[in-house]
Amino acid sequence: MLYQVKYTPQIGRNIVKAFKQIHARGVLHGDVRPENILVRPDQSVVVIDFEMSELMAPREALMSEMSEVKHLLASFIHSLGVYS
Amino acid sequence: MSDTFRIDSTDPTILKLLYFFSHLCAMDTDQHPEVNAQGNAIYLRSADKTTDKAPKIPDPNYLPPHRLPPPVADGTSTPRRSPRFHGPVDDNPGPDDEPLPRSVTNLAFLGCKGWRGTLDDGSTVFAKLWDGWKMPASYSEHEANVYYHLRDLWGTVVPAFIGLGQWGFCHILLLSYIEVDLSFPSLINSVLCYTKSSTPPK
Repeated sequence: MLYQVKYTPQIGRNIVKAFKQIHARGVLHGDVRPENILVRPDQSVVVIDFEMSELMAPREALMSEMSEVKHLLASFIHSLGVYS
Repeated sequence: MSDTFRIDSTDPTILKLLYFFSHLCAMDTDQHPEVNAQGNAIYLRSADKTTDKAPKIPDPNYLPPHRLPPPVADGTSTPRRSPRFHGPVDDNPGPDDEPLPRSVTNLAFLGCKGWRGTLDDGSTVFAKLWDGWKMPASYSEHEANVYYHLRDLWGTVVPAFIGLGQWGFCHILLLSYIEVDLSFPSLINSVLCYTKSSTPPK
């Protein structure tokens, strides 16, 4: 079954915002994958699966994971052909 | 000594017989070694003059290790937990050592470790199960700790943590269920969609 994809920039912003909030509490998710990011109908984002996460993570690791999140978004947007 | 009783005596006492056999042994000076079935002489070794292998008296202060009672197969409870991670019983058991206080029914497999279930109050929950045979409880406890650390984000950025415990032979973590509209799928569905489609969706 194929789903109709309706990606909006708001979803990307919410994903980055969600990880910023998690990182602000010193938690490194450790397993950033599309499977672990859920999008609600209202475009809000829920991050799941903290099995590989790390508490009190160093700042460098958090910054590296945020870059990973942005790279994931960029590759996803590129795959959809959305460049705006 | 053999004179102590007559050879044709019909009522010798034990003591008299011992004296008699002792007398016979004393009269016979030939060697009579113990032999095995092949006729070879057997020589008995003397025991080492140590007490290492001597039987020991049990320590009166010894307390046997505490063991879990055997499972009761009443047909209503979930399967028993694997014995692999049955360690000694802790006086202060962690949350995962305790059975799940709430019953979960109508479990539906969602993939990987994820299940959707229904609590006793009718609410839908997300259950994450770890095989207790393969995974120690530390995995579920760690994830529960992280969710608890993020408790001010429950229901917004992360699911709300409901409970942690033991369910049958599995460690179980209960979270609030996140409704994802299929008409507006999660990113994974979007990626799968693009993978299966010959052309990128508009």
